[in-house]
Amino acid sequence: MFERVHARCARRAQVPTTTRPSTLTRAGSSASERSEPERSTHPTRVDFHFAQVPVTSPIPLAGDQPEEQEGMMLGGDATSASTSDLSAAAWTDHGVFKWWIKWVTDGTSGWIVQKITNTYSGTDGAGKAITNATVGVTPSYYEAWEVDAAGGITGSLGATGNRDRWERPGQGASSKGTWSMTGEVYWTAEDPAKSGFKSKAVANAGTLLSSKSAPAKLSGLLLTRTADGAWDSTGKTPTHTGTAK
Amino acid sequence: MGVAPEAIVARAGGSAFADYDPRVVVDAVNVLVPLGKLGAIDAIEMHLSRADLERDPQEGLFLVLRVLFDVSPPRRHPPLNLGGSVPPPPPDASAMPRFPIVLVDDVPLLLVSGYALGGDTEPVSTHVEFYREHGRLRGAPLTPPPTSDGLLERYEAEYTSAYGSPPSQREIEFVDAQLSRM
Repeated sequence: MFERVHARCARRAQVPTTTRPSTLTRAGSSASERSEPERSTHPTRVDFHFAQVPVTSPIPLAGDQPEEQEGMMLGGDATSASTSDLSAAAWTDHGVFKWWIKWVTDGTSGWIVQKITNTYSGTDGAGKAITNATVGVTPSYYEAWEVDAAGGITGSLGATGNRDRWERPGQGASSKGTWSMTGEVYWTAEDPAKSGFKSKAVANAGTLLSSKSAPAKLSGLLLTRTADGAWDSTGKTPTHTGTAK
Repeated sequence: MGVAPEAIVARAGGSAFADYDPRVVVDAVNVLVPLGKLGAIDAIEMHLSRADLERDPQEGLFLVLRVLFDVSPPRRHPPLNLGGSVPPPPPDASAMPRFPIVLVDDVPLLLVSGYALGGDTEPVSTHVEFYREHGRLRGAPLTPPPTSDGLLERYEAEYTSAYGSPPSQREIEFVDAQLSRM
């Protein structure tokens, strides 16, 4: 059976639009807990209080921009990110996979950043090794979607909408192997272009702003997405099974 | 009874690369050429305006556009930014100007069975705008030969010329399957 678990409901937290401290913490939690992915599956109210706490993440948290001063209109850093299916995950013959989602977040005036990590292993019909390189896959990269002040989400400098497409191409008859994709989702209030993100910089990201390096001022981890598959086209009936969550 | 042009364009737009059939692109190109440049673009835009592009972005039309139009140097066909592919575009883009399509005796063969994507891609409309501005509509409909004799060998020769090495067995099988669907 395919395992599919999606957090579909994200609450919109009340985030102050004036002076903000350096971090957000959930009431009663420690700073280190921020590194755990938040997969809110319940639209329950969660109260936050703001506190000056030591930053334990090796990555600076968003919201520390020196230009943020009292009285300025600021965006709301995301405290949650989840997904909703546009096209349910589907595994088909010879390693073909498709899963399209859209983002749900309570952040505004910032960017959703996803770190993608890819793996491939197997053999093609001629017995040659299948690897990330032979499939045209970059092992790891970052990509970003902009979230406007009203919460509208777009990609590719506004050329694409709120959509993330995970697709794996077929490896041909008589092939066999496994693949995996991991997406670690963060937030940043700083334009990733300042960190060198460019549209089309990484082919696997399509036209999204992307880079092989992390952008500045990433938040703690908000969500981890995974998909994997194992296909076998060496027998009479091709098979391809996996999980996506 | 013939198939309506709208249906032919829709079939090409929604066709999957993994099961690519050159005839689908040939039919779309040949129904659009008689409409003239602006008529062809209008027909494509009309179709796109009616499609649910969020769930089916009609990316087969990227292929139709690359065959329907020529581009005068120094301009080139805009690259497809649909993800990582095998093979990648050739080192010298001019060696296969329509990549991932190669026209062999008026048969539009597809070199790439699919893209490895974890992100999103530009809409077809961006290429429509490019060809509206810079494209020259091909002068005549495509006239594929009655048989596929010799086409696979010509594909292999063009590939080897562009990449400096012959296609893999898997790539040959992918193109051979296309010819069998013609």
